[in-house]
Amino acid sequence: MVFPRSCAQRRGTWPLAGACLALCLLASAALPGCSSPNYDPPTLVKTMRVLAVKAEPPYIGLGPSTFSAFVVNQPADDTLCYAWAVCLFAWENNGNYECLDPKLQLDLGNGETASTSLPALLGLLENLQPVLAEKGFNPPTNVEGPDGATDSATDAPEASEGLSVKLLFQVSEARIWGGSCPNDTTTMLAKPCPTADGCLMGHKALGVAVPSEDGTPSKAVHSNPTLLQVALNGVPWPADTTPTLAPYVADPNAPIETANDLKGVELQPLWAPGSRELIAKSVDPGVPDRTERLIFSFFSNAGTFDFRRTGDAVPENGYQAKRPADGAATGLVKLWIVVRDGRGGVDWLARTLNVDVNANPTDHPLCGADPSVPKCGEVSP
Amino acid sequence: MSRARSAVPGLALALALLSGVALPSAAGAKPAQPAPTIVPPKMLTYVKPIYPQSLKKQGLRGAVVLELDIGADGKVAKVQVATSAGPDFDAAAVAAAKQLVFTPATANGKPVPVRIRFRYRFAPTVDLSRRGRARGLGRYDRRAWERAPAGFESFTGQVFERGTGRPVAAATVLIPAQKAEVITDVAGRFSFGLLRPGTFVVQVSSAQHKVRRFKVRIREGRTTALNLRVNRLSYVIYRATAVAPPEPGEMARRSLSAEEIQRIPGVYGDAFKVVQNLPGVARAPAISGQIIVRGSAPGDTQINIEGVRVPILYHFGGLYSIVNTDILEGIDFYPGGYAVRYGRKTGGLLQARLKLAKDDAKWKGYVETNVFHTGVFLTGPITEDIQISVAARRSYIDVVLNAVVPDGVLPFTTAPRYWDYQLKLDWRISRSMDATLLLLGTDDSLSAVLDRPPPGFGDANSDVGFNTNFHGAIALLRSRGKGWKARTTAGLVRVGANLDLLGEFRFDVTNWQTTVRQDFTFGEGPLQLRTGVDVFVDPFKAEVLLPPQAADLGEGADADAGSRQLEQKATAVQPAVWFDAVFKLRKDLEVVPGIRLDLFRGQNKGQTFLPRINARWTPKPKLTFKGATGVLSQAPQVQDVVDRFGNPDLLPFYSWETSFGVEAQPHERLTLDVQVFHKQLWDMIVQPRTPWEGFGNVNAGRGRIVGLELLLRHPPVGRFFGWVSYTLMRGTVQPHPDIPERLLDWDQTHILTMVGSYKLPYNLEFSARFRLVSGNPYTAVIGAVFQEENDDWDPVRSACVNCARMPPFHQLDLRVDKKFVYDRWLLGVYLDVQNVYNRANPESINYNYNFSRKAYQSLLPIIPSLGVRAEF
Repeated sequence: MVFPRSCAQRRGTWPLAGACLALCLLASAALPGCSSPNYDPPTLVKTMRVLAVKAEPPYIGLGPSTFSAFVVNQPADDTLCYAWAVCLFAWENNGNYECLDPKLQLDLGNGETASTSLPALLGLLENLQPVLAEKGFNPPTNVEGPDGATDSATDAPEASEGLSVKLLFQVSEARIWGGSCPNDTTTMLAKPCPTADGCLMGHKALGVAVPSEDGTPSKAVHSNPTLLQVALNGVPWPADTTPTLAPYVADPNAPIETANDLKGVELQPLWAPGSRELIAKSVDPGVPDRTERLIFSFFSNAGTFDFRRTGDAVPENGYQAKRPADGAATGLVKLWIVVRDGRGGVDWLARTLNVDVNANPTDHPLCGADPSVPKCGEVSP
Repeated sequence: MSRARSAVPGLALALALLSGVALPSAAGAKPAQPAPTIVPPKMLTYVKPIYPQSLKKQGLRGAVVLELDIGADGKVAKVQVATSAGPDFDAAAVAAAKQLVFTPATANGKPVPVRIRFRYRFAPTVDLSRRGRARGLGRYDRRAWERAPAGFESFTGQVFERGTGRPVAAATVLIPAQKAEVITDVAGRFSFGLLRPGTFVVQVSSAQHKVRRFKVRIREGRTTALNLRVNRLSYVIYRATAVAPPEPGEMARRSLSAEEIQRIPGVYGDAFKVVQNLPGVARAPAISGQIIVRGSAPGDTQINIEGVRVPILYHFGGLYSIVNTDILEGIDFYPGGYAVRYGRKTGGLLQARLKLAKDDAKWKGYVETNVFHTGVFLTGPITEDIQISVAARRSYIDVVLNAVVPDGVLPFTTAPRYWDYQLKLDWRISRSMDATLLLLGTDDSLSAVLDRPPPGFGDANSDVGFNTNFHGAIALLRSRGKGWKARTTAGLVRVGANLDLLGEFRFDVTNWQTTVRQDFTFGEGPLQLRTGVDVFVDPFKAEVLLPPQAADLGEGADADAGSRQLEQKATAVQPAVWFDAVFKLRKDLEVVPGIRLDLFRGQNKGQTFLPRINARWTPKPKLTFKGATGVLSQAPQVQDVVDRFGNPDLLPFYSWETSFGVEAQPHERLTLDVQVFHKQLWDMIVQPRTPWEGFGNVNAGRGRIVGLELLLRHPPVGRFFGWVSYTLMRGTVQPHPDIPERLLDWDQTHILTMVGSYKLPYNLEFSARFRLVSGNPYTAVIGAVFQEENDDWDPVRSACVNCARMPPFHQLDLRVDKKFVYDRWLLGVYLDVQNVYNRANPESINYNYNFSRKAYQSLLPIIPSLGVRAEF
């Protein structure tokens, strides 16, 4: 019988083993997943990855919006190829997102960055009605809602949430194209990627800020959040500091009550005031206003996190460093944190730490680097 | 001419005196006077009833309760049947009762007419020459009776079966040393007249029981009374299931008795899941309990208890049936081709039959516990005409976890917990009318505390919980007269479901399912007319707190666009009338044409007029050819038509089903049923071809399913029962005319199931089930796209939908049952092992985060489970 990992890790008393068995039986009876393949977690970055794409500003407005990708683990000896496009009307076709028609797609080139603006999309907007007519778009007749209000096709989620477009992108290593980038956006954006490794294709939804007649600002207008800092075990971790950390060793004698507690070190993202913007005032009594909610994604090229993502309510995450590869005593590990505001706004930061098998596990990783913590070898009062 | 041995005069009279209340005639009764002293009548002449010749072959037993008006002269003036045992027994009882003679009852010494109750019991004559062990030891010594004072009994008692406490009828009680022998009556009673005093060996034997000897001391001038308990030859009882021949208009009814259901490994005695082992039914995902019939979606099969729709079948969606199998007589499963009295679904029909009241005066019951729950069951008579059955179960995983796991370790505040109950009353109102009332309910709950709110849920509290429940009643009234039968069914069930996800997403749904059916059958000869009304009403109310939008992107991303709080109300009103005629054109040919008109009102629209015809031809006694064709319709589900989320203009969709088959009995203990079928589906409800065609689903799909079903079955006779079931099937669907045809999601080309149960010595029983089934089709994933705004990945699926297929499924399940017998109760223990050789059967495909790696996901490892039941 295959137990869930949490069961297997718990080395407790027989009653607890019985409880685990009972839980697993119950889980096997009610839930899938008592056994699952041992895949690498999505937080572990082993090959080239795009962790985020930033639009500055994070919407399409009258002015230019510039797009850039946060690429990590890029092979030093290989060139990256880029392809960018924006689609005015993407839809799900048998589970696959596609641009409805090539006439609604605008290529943005093959640079490391790309940009566009609302005026540049006007051509696409002109194509929209003819394409929809050609496709047989037929908005349903108005339907009277339960409260007597009349909803229409424009009440579909896409419309009620405002006009949005899809930014399409592909980042790939030149080697998969034979060493030189094709610089052919159409070829590069044809799904799927030619290879699973060394090529990443993605899309990102962006709101369109249409100017209003009365001059009130569009609700799509907002800013990217700002990820100021990350705290390591409660101490801010400067970008130019490489703290030293002992590899995480599980305590086999830990009581089961603490089996799920955070171990290793704690990472706490710190964001700038104003990063959580107001979306709208609530009209329901008792229901709070809608504000952006920040979501933090964690990545590293070695080691594991307690959570793949955390929210701004409890942003902390635990990180367990692994022993350096190939039996080395020390090794550098890269950590990346990305923050998203749920409306296309994004920011990120990167840090490096040193994993040393000889490091004193009782020392704070930033000992000696930060005056607010005891020096290495000293015990905190 | 044979006579019923069981109608022992003394006992019958005693019963008459106990159960009958001697009532003086009303004339002359004056309230002011003191109550008269009444002496009941005493029997002077007993007349045994003649066992009806017509029932001799069947060997039936029965009891007729009569009301006798005894005149002041002690003669029986009038006889009325109070409780019938059928016309033949009734007539024999009345004829005998008219010849009874009593001493008159007296009131203050004066003879008065009275009315008493008197019961005759009937049992078939026992042929002593077949009674092996008793043969040759001498017969009952009549001279002893003759020497004894009138009515004197040296030795009396009853013979009971150990463990069950059932009386043993027709057992031989023999005292070899005295060459005395008697046979027990239907209540297991026996009595010897004058016997020599002393200590003697008494030997009891019966055809179904082991011989047992007792030492009994007979004392002079005194009566020795003893209850004797004997062991059955085997407590693993296989009864030939009393399956009635198919009703006219039924193409294929496959019935399983409750006893069969409880012996099949891997289904834990679950009356609904067991259907998955019959032909025409696809293998459902492990434990899901879904019933997928002839390629139809799980929701397209109608599941009823006595004609009333069951809203929730299983605890936690598939863990265990919500109805105790012991409340049921059995299940009837129709994969298709059923009569017009049923409708509103395009798939199969599963009908659970409630257990009929038995003419059994004994209380019975059990307490059981198994891997899921602990339960009790109790059944018995309240009065002569009313029986009650009560069952209740509760899961105990939460109790165990709370007891053994320290606080704070598990995330549950309410660990998965369910309970259910059923209460059934059977009332024999008169010889032509009886009624059943079933109250039933279930409740499932689960709530948990999360360590932290999921990302994006802000400061929400960290509780999640859900509850589903229903409580309701089903009432049946069956009445019959000369040349007609009627059946009234009413059901009212309140269904509730609620979910609370971190306080940010909630729904609370309540509906009241109301079913009223009235069925009539007229005529018994070559033409039988059947008609009925079938009304289903389902008011529905949902209160929803929508989750905050995950992506608030642009213009109008605003709570002004709509409140997060939403209330939806809808009512399905679905009346129907049906009519069919059974033409018995010849002795061997029966044709049943029928029509059904369904109206869909309230939340639904449309009406459907459904013709069906069914024919059976039996050229030889053990060979029947059959065929059926007809149209079925089904209304869209509430979520498909509800305002805002669905398309209120959706109409019912249709299935035209045609099947042909043959039933044969190639061997005395084997039956074979082979069918081929074809289903044409149209107006299927599918998603719009493109999102710009509208928001809701549309009536645009077409489909086709063809197949062959085979069932080779050995009934529970002798030491074995079991069956082999095989289905060959192919189902395709075309969602829109311009989209290529694709395989149905549930298309399983080959479905083979073998079930067997064998009775072993020492009250042991061994059962096995083996299944070999083609894998489900699926659409391959050929890549992935990074969904940047959510830090997630979308699969890129192949354009060839459902062109890949999962590996085949095969699994062996075994079960061993053992019964331990004690004087007054039985202890049953079973070990049920699912997936004996631990096959990792793929249930789905598990991908890594970016779909670059995949592996088959299995669900059930080898699962042994133990159950214990104490019966009395």
